[in-house]
Amino acid sequence: MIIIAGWFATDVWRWLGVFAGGRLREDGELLIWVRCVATALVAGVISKLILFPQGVLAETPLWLRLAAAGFGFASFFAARQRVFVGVLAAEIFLVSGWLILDTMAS
Amino acid sequence: MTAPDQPDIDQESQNPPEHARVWMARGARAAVSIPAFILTAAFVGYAGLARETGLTLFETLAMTGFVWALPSIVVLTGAISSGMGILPAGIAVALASVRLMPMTMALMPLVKVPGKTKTWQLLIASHFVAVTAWVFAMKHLPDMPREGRLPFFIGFGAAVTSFVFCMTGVSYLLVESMPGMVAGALFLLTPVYFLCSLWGRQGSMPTGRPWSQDCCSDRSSSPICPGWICFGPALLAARLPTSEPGSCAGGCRDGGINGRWIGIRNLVATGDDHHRRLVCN
Repeated sequence: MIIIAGWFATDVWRWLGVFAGGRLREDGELLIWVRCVATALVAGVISKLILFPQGVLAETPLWLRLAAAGFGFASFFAARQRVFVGVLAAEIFLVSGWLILDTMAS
Repeated sequence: MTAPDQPDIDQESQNPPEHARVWMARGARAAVSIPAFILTAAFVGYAGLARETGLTLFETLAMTGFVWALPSIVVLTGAISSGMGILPAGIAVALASVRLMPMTMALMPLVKVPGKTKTWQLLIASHFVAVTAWVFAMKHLPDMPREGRLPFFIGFGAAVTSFVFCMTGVSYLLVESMPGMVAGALFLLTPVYFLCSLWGRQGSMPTGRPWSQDCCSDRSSSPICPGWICFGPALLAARLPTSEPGSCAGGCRDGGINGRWIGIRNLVATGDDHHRRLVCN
């Protein structure tokens, strides 16, 4: 039942988007605004996942997550904006930092 | 842009089913990609969270299939684990999913063939709107012929969804034997991937066209994005660091305000279309 609530609560926005979006022109100023709102909201999801993660990742210190994300982002630029490099670099940074912290703690 | 497409549309309408199927297959093939790989990894990480929370395999898979937006799924999982009632849980999920509406709105004019595409087709396609597919679509669809976009997107979305669905199930069963660190590392994949691809002008594929040409890539407003990423959460942290629905509501509101500001800046700074093209390309 909660599944249905989750499904409906999510898809209703998509359907609303279909009906509302059908009337927009592809390059109108209103659509540019809508696209900006959407971009800002995705940015919000990013920062939430890094600052307030769920599960095991929440055990890592905040500075490590921030540093890993920052390192990944810097590598992304260093590799001429290749997404894969950025993601890989962030992961390597996080796991090595985590391993170092673990060995220091034990 | 539409004028040169006109002869194509007439030509395609004589043979639409095969054409659509070809594009759908292309979309499915394009799903074998780095974004899909990263999303799969993120869902593998989620399977660990779901198991920790005490969800059954069935519930986990139902959420993956029905909700299909990782942030909303995480919110729903949190709501269930804290024993929230169905109504507050629904509200929390709805708040977390508001962003899907502007995203879908932005996508629709891209995939629609005016006067030809039926609304139910768009409704089906809209279910696959989630950050990964949306980022991918906004980046690659503009380079495709208009009639191919919708089937391509549906093919892409369906392929990614089914693959992720299976992988979530498999990893739910295997997660016991997975070290905690691996699961945690998988969780970080998603935000870093979103971060890089939001910025990416070219991304991993050399199409060369920025999908977010009016927001982040626009030089006149490019400092706003990092500014928002730092500023928005600071507000959240100051207000409601632990409450999930609260932070979602805050995130959405801050997003709206800042998005509007970016929009106004765009209107003011690059009101003239030609200038915007110059700035972006």
